Formats: sequence, C-alpha cells, structure tokens
Amino acid sequence: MRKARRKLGDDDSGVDMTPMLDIVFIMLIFFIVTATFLNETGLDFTRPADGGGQSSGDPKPVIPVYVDEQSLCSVEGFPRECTEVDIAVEGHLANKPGATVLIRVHYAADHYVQVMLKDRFTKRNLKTKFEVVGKSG
Amino acid sequence: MSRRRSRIDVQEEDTELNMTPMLDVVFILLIFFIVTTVFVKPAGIEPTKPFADEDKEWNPTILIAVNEIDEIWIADQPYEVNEIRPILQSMKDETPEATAIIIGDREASSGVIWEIQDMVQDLEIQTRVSTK
Repeated sequence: MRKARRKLGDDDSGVDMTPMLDIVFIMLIFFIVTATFLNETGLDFTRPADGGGQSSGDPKPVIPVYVDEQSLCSVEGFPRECTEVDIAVEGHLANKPGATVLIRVHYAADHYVQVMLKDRFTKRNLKTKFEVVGKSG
Repeated sequence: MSRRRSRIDVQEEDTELNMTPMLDVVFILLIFFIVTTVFVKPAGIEPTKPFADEDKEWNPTILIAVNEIDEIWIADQPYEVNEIRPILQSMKDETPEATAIIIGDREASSGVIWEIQDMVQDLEIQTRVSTK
C-alpha cells in the first residue's frame, strides 16, 4: 500500500515538458531562419591616428601618385598605366629609400583604382597615405 | 476492474518516448544559434566589388553600400553623404562594439568612400573597405 502510493507520487511530480519544448523549438526555428552567415573580406583603409608630427625633425620622403577624375594615374607628374604604378613607384624608391607613397585621389575617380593601388602597395609592404582632392558639388 | 485499469496505465507508460536526449540536442542547437547570431541589417543593394588580393576576412555588423551613382544604402534605405552621420551614430549607440564595412561599387566616387571612411572612423567604429 505504502509502496504503491509513493510510486503514484513520483509520476505526478514528473514536470510536463511539452510547453517548454514548444517554446524551445520555436526559438530554434527563429534563430535558424534569422541566422545570416556573411563572409565579407576587406582592405583596411583606416587612416593612421595623427602622430602630431613626431618625425617633424626629418621630413620623410614622399612619392606622389595622382589619380585624376578620369581614373588615370600619374607618378611624380608622369602619366602611367594604373596597373603599372607600383612598378614605377618601386623605381623611384631607389632614390628615396623608406619613402611614403602619397596617393592623391580626385573626388570623382573610380573607387576600384584606389582599391587596386592600396592592394598592390600593401603587397609590396609600402606605406600609403591617401588624400582626396577636388571635391565636386 | 481496478486491476485492469492499472495494467493499461503500465502499458501507456511504456510506450512514452524518452525525450531527454532530443531535448539536449535541441538545447545545444538553440544555444549555438543564439550565440552565433549577429543581427545584420542588409544594405539593400549588392554593388560590384573591386578586386583585391591582400584582403582579410571581416565580420561587420553595419553594412554601408555605395552604388555607381554614389547613393549610400544602409538598411534598405538610400541616403546622401551628409545624412548618414546620425544613422551611424544611433547604430553605434545601440551596439558599442559594432564594426562596419563600406561596400563600394567599382565605379563609385573615391571621394564618397573617403568621406564615409573618415566619418565612421570619427565615430570610432572599426571599418574595412569591401573587396572580393
């Protein structure tokens, strides 16, 4: 008699899991559906924080590269194919060791040119500095 | 009578499935999806990205797309350069650890990309320029 009652009590204390299971499933489905797995890749165009002219004593040599509004490139004032800018800069680097590449980009120049230049100079471990010129209205 | 009923009860109990292992799996899946979910608002357009070799993987939470006519798209809405600062500011306030990506079309203006880059950097949001 006593044994039987205890058994009955055990059964009753078993919590009904069904409502919790329903909620858990709904949450699971929600998170599966909303999960977006984006795989973006990118280049770091972050400008270095202003060093406050820490090397103002000896101005670093600079190799100027210009990209005009028609997305045409020039190095030190001489027109160059944009795909050959890095080779031209490499040549100038012999005269100006440790130089920074100053890339002046016209406001209306196509975006892919600066990405290509940044990519190539990153590959060659050259420091680049970007400047935007000629803001149009 | 009472004997018969009790026998039926026993049979019912036996046919009940043991849910515990399934519950365990479901919970693990749930926790996985909760942890990995980042709520990213899609930009609304898919610009033709410029190509690069040296690009690195980047997991942004803010997508800023610029198309070939220099419209800036954030969360399915087009904006002008001078309109996006408050939007980015509110996104930054919402999630302080937010990171961004600027998805510029190949033919977008370089100047617009730089204006966005400088603005995002000014708001102290880590950002990259998207490439493929």
